[in-house]
Amino acid sequence: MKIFETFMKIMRKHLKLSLIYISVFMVVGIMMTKSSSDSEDGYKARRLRVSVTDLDDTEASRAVVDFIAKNHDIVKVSDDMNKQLDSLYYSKTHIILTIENGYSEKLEHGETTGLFNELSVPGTNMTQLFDSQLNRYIGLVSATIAGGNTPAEASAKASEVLSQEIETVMLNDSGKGSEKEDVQNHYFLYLAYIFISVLINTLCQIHLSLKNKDINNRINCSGVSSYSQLLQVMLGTFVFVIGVYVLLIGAGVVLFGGSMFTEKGMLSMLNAFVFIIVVMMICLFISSFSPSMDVISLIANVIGLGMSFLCGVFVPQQYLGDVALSIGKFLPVYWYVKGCNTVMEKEGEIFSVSGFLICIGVQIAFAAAFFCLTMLISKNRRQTES
Amino acid sequence: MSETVVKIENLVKRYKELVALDHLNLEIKKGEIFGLLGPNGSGKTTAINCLLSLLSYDKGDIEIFGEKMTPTSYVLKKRIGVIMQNVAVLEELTVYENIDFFCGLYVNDKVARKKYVQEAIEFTGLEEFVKFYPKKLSGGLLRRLNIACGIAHKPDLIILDEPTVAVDPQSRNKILEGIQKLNSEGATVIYTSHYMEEVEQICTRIAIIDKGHSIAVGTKDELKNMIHNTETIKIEVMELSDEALKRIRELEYVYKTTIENNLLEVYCSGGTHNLMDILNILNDYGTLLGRIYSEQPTLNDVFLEITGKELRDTEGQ
Ligand SMILES: Nc1ncnc2c1ncn2[C@@H]1O[C@H](COP(=O)(O)OP(=O)(O)OP(=O)(O)O)[C@@H](O)[C@H]1O
Ligand SMILES: [Mg+2]
Repeated sequence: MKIFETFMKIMRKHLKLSLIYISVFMVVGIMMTKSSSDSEDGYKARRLRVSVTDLDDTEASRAVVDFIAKNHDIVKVSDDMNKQLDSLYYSKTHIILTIENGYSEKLEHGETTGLFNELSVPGTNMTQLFDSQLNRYIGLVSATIAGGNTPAEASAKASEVLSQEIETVMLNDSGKGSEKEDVQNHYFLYLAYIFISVLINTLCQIHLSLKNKDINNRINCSGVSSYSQLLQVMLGTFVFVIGVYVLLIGAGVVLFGGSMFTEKGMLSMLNAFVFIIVVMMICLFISSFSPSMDVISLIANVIGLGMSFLCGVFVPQQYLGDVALSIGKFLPVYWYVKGCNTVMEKEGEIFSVSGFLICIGVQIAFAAAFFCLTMLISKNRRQTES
Repeated sequence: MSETVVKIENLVKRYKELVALDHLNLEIKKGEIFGLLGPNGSGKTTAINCLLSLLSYDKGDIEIFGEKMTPTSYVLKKRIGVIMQNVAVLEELTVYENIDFFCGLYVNDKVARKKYVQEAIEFTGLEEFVKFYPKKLSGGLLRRLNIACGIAHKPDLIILDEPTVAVDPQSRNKILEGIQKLNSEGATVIYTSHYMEEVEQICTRIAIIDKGHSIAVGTKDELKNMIHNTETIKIEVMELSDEALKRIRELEYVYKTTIENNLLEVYCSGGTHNLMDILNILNDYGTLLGRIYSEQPTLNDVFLEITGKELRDTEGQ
């Protein structure tokens, strides 16, 4: 086990650079999750402060107030015009809404104009959501009345329908779950870059040290069989790869908690595992050319950044040009990214088991191809040397 | 001195067109320091690599300790220590860790290994440098580390391929003494070099190799007896009369003379101590003399006489 032991020793010497990569990545990850929870507050801010004055005071008008109260905070401001403007100016309230007298009656006659008097700060888009909600509500109510209901009944139905709708809108579009998933998806996407950089920079260096021709001669002169040599080097490689995987996925668990263990999370982890194996094979492939140590970090950058850009790690695949995409399809990272997006249903991907399996399968095919190439090259090399 | 440790028979190795080893035969006995002497490119390293099964060869048989040597002869390999021409140490490991690693390929027991490593460090005089990384070592120290890595496991057969290339004289002497010490402790040594002085200094038997073929084998005295020359006398002369030169040429043991740039060279055979005769003749003609040398034949002369060329190009040591 001396070779394995030394593998680990050499690994520790080469770990510095990798640790820098990983820690920068972690910091970025933490910052991303943090900013996502900041924008949760941003969502809360969309619950506006609305002051409502009900001049109609019918069942229908009270239903409007209830509807608004469900989605926004009702605040009280005085009737005095100046004070109202003040409170708008100081953002004590965002909207001052007056339900005009005759609201219920107008609706009954199918009129939908002149129902409200709305006061808000001009030039902001804060009230857009509110207006559209209110418009939809009125639209629904008047349609229901036209269907033969009283204003009171229609109001109840409309608010029921809309409350469901608003909930789903929250979940899919701007809700907190989605933001967090976005970050989690980015985390997994960036993993591709980190895996490539860390593995190539570290693994290739170790392999080159141990597979240096003179060192190798020396090892071959000893009584350690070539089978045992291979086994020990592979063991070292696996320990390192698994180590990097566990470290980064562990960091993901810390950042995202339970959502790593949902079905989506588990599939993402599987996808990442398959991908790190692909990267491992790429490393073995690169090592078989025995490039110099300086060339390795160059290769790491070229492959890491190149593949990441071409395959949609940094830029969403949707926005990539056709050329980039068609090149990307011949690179393993593309399929990893597609796998991530499929699992998380991002960027227009829709989850399907078969779609996901295709992504995994193509990656495994890449791993197998690199493995075969490596075997071929090292066999050729042995032959030309002797 | 009778047990055969290494036996190479009719070894042929080709690199495409180039015949690197051409029916090489060698037999090395237990307890010898066996020298492989040959100019650059004569096939020394190739022979060693074939011997160790690092290279495949086209023809021939190799036996070590009476057994056929193959790439999977792991038991045999454990008894051999190898110091290659190129320094082979891991840059990421310290001096101590390097020796421990290579020793650990042979010795699994940690306690025993610790002792072996310590002994190898003392043996090569690297005590002060155990925590150094190879990058920080001078050429001589690096060579010593290279040797320590190869001998720490106390092999029965030690193979050194030009271990003193680019080493200062002080380190070189230490290395040579060390090799003799290892030998006196019971190891059989194969030592390749293109420095004849080194080989003469430590080897008990020598094979001279040229173009992948062993052209002469024996102790250094045996080798020197193989050739005509027994003494070369060189004298700086101011002006040499033809008469004097003629008389010197007429001496029965003189078989060749040259004069170039006022340096007279007289080649003698059949014994030494011919200097007085020649000086007397020069004295008779009143020749003014400068520096005077009398040289015993070297292995270079042996090589020169057998192959007609110098062992090494003008490269100094
Ligand atoms: N891998 C190789 N491929 C082709 N030719 C080679 C190879 N290795 C050595 N040779 C040739 O074989 C011959 C013997 O080389 P070798 O290295 O054995 O010589 P050497 O006696 O060790 O020389 P040196 O004193 O320079 O170490 C040389 O002509 C060399 O050019
Ligand atoms: Mg050589």
